[in-house]
Amino acid sequence: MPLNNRLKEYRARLGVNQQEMGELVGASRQTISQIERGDYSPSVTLALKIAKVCKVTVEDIFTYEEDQGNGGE
Amino acid sequence: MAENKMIEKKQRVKESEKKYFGKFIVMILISLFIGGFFGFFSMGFRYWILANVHVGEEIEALRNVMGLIVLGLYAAGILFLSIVALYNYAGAKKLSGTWDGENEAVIDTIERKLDIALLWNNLLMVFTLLFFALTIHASGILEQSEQIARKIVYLNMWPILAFFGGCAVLLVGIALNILISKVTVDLRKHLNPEKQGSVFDMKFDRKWEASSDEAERQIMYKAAYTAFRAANMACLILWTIAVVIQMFVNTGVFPVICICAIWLVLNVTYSRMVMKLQSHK
Repeated sequence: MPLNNRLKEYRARLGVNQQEMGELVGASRQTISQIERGDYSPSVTLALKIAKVCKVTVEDIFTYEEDQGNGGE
Repeated sequence: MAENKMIEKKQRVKESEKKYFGKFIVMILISLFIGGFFGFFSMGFRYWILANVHVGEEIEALRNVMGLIVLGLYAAGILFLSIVALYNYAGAKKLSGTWDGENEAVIDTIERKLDIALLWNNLLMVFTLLFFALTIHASGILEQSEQIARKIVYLNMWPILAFFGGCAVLLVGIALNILISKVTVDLRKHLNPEKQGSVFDMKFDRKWEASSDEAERQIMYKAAYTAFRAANMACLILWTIAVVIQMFVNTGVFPVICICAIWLVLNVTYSRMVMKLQSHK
């Protein structure tokens, strides 16, 4: 996955579990779990909500890496 | 530079289209050949069966109890499918009691068990409906009612037993299906409090979807698209089988009409939804 994230780390800083994090950003526990595992890339809206709750910028949590295989296409 | 890239890309697309078109033509020709071969020989085979295969008295006698045999299979199948679904549900329920709200391995196992329970429950629903029709057919109740209509009064208890037994098993199957749906949905709602909808509500699917977030919807939509593709392929295969069988035994055009009706609904709904969604953009 070209989108890396540090959501687990920021969630730990907030001291909330996945269910509570989900409630804070209006998502389900599974979605938070999938984002943390890198199985799901959130929409811009959800990424912004997560960043707002964590009081950081989106780029602090999510980083995009160019895929070496296809040049990011 | 950019222009060269565009030309190269167009060339690649053209070559790829040529390649796929060639494959498509070969597939069509092979299908035509196989279809023609089976169609031609099946007609001959049917006449051979009619001329040479005779149903013996033993088989005629077996027909009397065929309804009860199918009824037994019906009941056993429902029991088996319900037990498997409930076993998986019970495993999920037991694990949910130990889940601390954090351990991902535990909740993943619970979710998987619930998914499996739901899959077996869906199989139970289809099995219940299919075997009800098979039991009625095998019971011989239709022949009996025809005889009564022609005033041939010969009451055979076996068809009546098989028919009413089939009705009872149908009700049990439906009740079990609803019960398993309810307990699995309730457990999911317990684990995910944001989820809404009751299995007794006719708008359950809509409410469940509305209470799902973007990642869950993406899973639903991907699964639905996979199901759409599978259903299209299934329609094609079933249409082929129905047309071939029609040549062996006189099944009539009704099966083909049913398959094509499903096919039509599937594709018209899909195309209309695509047009609707595109027009919003």
